[in-house]
Amino acid sequence: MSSLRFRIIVSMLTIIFLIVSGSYFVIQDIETGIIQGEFRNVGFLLANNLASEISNNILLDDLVEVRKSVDNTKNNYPEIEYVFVTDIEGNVIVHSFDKGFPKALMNYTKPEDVKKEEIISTEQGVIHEFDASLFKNIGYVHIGLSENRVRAQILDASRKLLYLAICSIILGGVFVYFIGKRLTEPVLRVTEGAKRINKGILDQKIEVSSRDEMSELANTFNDMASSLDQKINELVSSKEKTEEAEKYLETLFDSIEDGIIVVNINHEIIKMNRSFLKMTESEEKDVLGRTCHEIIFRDLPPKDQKEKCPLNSLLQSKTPIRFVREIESDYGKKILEINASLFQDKKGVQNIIMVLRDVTGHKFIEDQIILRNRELAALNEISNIIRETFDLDKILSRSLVAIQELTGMESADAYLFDEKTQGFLPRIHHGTEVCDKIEFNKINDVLIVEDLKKNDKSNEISMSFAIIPLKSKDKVLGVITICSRKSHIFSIRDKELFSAIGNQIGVALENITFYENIKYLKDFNDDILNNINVAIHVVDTDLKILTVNNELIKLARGSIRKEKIINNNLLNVYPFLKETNVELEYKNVIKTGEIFFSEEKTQYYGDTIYTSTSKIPIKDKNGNVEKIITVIEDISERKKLEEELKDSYQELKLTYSKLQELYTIKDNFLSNISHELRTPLTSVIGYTELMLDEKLTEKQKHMTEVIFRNSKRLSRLIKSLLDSHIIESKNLHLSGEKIVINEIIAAVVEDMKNMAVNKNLTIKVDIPDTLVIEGDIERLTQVFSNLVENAIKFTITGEINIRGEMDNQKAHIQISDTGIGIPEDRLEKIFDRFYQVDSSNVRKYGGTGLGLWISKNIIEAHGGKIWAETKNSGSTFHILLPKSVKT
Amino acid sequence: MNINNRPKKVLVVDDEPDTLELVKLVLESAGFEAILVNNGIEALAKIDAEKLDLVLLDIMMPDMDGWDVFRKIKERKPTIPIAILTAKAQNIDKLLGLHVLKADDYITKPFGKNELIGKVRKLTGSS
Repeated sequence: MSSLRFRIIVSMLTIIFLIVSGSYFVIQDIETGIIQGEFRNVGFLLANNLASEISNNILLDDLVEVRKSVDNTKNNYPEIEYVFVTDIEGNVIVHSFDKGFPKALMNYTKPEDVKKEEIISTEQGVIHEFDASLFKNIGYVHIGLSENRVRAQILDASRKLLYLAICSIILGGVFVYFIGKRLTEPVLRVTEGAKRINKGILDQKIEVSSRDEMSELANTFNDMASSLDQKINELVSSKEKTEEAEKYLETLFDSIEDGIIVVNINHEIIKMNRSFLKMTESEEKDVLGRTCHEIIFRDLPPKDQKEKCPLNSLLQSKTPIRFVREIESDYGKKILEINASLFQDKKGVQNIIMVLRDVTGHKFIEDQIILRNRELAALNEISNIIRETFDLDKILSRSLVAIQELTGMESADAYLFDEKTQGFLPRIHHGTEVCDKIEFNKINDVLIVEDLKKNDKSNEISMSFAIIPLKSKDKVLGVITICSRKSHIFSIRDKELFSAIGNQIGVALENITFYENIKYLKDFNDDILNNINVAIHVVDTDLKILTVNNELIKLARGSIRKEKIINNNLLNVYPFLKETNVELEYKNVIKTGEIFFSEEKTQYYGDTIYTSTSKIPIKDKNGNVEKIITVIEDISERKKLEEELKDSYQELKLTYSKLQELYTIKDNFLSNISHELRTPLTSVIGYTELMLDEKLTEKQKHMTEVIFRNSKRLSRLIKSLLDSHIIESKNLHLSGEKIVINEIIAAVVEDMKNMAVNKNLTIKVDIPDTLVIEGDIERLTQVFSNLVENAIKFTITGEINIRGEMDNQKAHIQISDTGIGIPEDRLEKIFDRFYQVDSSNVRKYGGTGLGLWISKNIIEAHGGKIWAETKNSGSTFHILLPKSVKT
Repeated sequence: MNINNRPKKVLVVDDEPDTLELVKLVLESAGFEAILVNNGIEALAKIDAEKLDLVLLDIMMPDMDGWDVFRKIKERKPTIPIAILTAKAQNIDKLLGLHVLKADDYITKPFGKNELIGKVRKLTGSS
């Protein structure tokens, strides 16, 4: 494998070795020559130089100088082994030996020719002696140079040369190895590539980096490999495709649902697919070689009568044929659609290929579609009638017809749920009356009975029926029954269909109820609208009138007609409105969405009428005004009444002011009359009292006393009347003075003393001096006088007790008597004006019936309270007074 | 009352002679000296002429308004107490008399003998 590379390297190494070693020897030889030449030159030069230097001194016989020169020479050149000078005779004149005179020179005879070189071997080595003759041959100079030094130089140079040669060989070897390797690399690669191609590995390229013939060779190999690869791939894929196609065809042939057979011109089956076997429910061996009409067209006579086979027409006309044939199989009828056409195989043999398709399923589907269409038609019919009308009977009747036609049942009935009886009542019957009443009570889903055997007397009768609930939101509003005297197979679809029909009619029933309710509401609204005694119209935002009521027509005194104003503009219907602000008012209502009230006086078709109008906006879902309801009330009557009322009011006002005047007159009158009455009374009382001080007879005294008593009574009466008037006119003004209750009571008691003494009554007073309040002293004195006087008046025997105490920051004064008492039920009434417990009292006890009423008013004006209590004997009057008057 | 003392002088002003007489009788019965006049002008003259202890003044007189007389008396002799004597017993008059014009007391007609004597004694300081 690597032999080529090995050989190349070895041969190149050998060549290098030979070259280097040859060079080595040649160089060594040349070098030796050079060294020896040089050595000789030096030797002769030294000898000659010394000879010329010392010639004079020899002549002069100055041996010292000669010695000096010889030593100098010797010292200057270390390779000089020895120097000696001889005279012409050959006697040594001067000599210099370092290591003694060499033995070989002992017998040394003078050479005749001074320019001669002598080689002498000594124990110190080889010595070369160079001779030079002195001036005029008076003597000779002999210089012995040792060869050792030169030899050492040569040896050294040779060694160096040897090293150089060895290094050259090594370096050269390495260089050669790499060069060789590099040169042989492509060859190796190409070799390997070729081997790979041989093995059939074609997808790997040969990589050669150089650009020489080797790379060309590699490229050629690569191209060859790739084209080879392509070819192979093409071959493989075309083979695969062919196989695949065959497989496809085979699979197709077998898996296709259609039955396929190939028959020869003798109608014998030569090939068939699996579907055909399945279709004819036979096995391959039973089919192969049989005639097609035997297998397929079983109703045709066998083999011998192939003339009747439909394939004959194909063979004659040579055009493909297509026909449908029904065949009987063990599992029932099958409908086959058969296509047959001619074809020639590779050998040119005429064959027939037949494709048989089982269209039994299609046929079934076709029938189903027809049925479905009928169902849809029925449903459609029902939904149409539901849409068309709200007439319940019409809907039910048409639905019954549709269902009956669809199912072919003989009779159909519809029942409706009755809220009152909570049962179903028959509504519509359709068809012949074949069914007995079908019993159903609670039904929620379609109920189907397909074959009911019933014994009717001696005959057994079959019947079938379906009960269909008419439902809306799970509520059964009615029922449809269909019935036949034969058994009838219902499919699941039928049930679904019935359910759908039931729901649809149910919803329709619900809608009808809803519609009737709405209609009722609308009628109701219309009734209200038309019977209400205000005029109403409704306009849209363009003031187009949408609705009016009868009252509005009446308001127009019959001069407009309802039909003429609907959908017309309000301002066109009532032209006079154009002169008013009505349009602006409506615009405002539309803009603000707020109700607008107004009252107006209108010249209305000849009459002046007063109306009150409300414009009420109706808003849509978004809060925008879409309509305005205008309610107009004819308030002419009311206006008239108002006017009258105004007159009455004026009258009343006049009367009132007159009355006020009268009151003033009365007030003044009372005020004046009291003065006028009291002035004479003053004299009467005064003089009478004085009279009583005079000396009178008993009779005179009695009479004077009567006058005095009655004049005083008259005085009190006048005062009471005046007080009554003051209270009545709310002019009771109180002064606020500090009052010691005990003091004013004492004054009152003093005043009444005579009266009490006369009746043999004692008056006991028990009031602390600390009982002090703020109030009107005169008025309170009046009250106490009144009460004490009453107590005396109504008591026959016994005593009168007056007590006072502070009770919860209030002065509580009690005046009790042992008198006739007051009936329980009149305790409050006694404080009424002009009230007397017993009217006979007036005569018996006197009094105006004003005293207690005045007292009550005075006490209450002080912010106090007065009330009476009655016990077994006598009464107690309580007075509560606050510490100060609240004015 | 002390008899040795000079009797207190009371000027009674009223247009009604009967009333004047009655008051005189009552006052004298109690030891007072009553000077009677029947109009305002005379009353003012007496005020100047006499040293009086009390004036009993009717405020309803024909020639002069009683309140006018009252004011004039008070101007001349502010120290003499004046009691109003009137049949005009309405509260408004009373308030006017007691508070606005500072009458010293108020005696309504008809009056009781003892009431009159009591009030006069109180006002003259001769209890």
